[in-house]
Amino acid sequence: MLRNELRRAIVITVVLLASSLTVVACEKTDVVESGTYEGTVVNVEADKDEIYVESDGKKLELYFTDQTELMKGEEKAEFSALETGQQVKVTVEKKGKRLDPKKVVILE
Amino acid sequence: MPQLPDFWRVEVFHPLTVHAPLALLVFGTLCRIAGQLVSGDGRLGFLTPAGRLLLGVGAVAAWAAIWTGSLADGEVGRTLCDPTVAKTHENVAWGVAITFSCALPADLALAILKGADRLRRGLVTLVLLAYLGGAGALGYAGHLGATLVYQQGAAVYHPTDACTEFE
Repeated sequence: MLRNELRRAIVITVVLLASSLTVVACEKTDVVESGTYEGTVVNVEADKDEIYVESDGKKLELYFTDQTELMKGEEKAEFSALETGQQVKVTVEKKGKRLDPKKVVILE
Repeated sequence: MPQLPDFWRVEVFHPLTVHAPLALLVFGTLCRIAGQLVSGDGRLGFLTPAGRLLLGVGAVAAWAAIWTGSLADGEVGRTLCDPTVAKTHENVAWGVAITFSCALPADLALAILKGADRLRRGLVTLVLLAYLGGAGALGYAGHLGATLVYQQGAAVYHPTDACTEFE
């Protein structure tokens, strides 16, 4: 019984430690050149006015600024219109290793 | 005339909270490892329980630091020239908090469960390696945090040349 409990403790510890490495690895973001990219919104952090867009295998971290133009089709939209899974077209300006979103268009 | 911003900005709570887990987890790890090397019945027998206490408090403090870090990120992330450093800093910090939060209950299981020597030795080794790895990663996360402040000026106010806001 005691051996089983210790074995269980070892297995749980290893699994949870492995998960910590997975968390560290999964959140990597990429930097691209200034331009326009089409991709999928994979995460929206409303409290930070921030979205993550996956485009051509790259994960872009985009902090909205006062100058960011958000459109849904032809109409202006609020940040709250953004949802995970949406297809978007983003125009970014690269400053250093920061990507400033100039325009974000929700395609669907 | 420019005005000095309020000191108690949201982003300031992160440096206020982050130094506690840095000290607690590093010294907790050292105590715990030292405690493993000495007799539990001798004068230095306090090291293992002391280490566990420091690590327990440190693990809780680490989660508080992660929360304030997220708040700070929302305020300063868009001002950084290289936000990928902040992302790596955040990722490593999460890994550290999870590592210590997982290793400590396993360590406490060792304190409660007696016997089964070979398995105990295996679990002790795993736990101590996790603590060491976590402490090393914590140092790296701290280094990245320092570069955010001292290389990129994250959350740092830059006074005017004439210092008029201090008059």
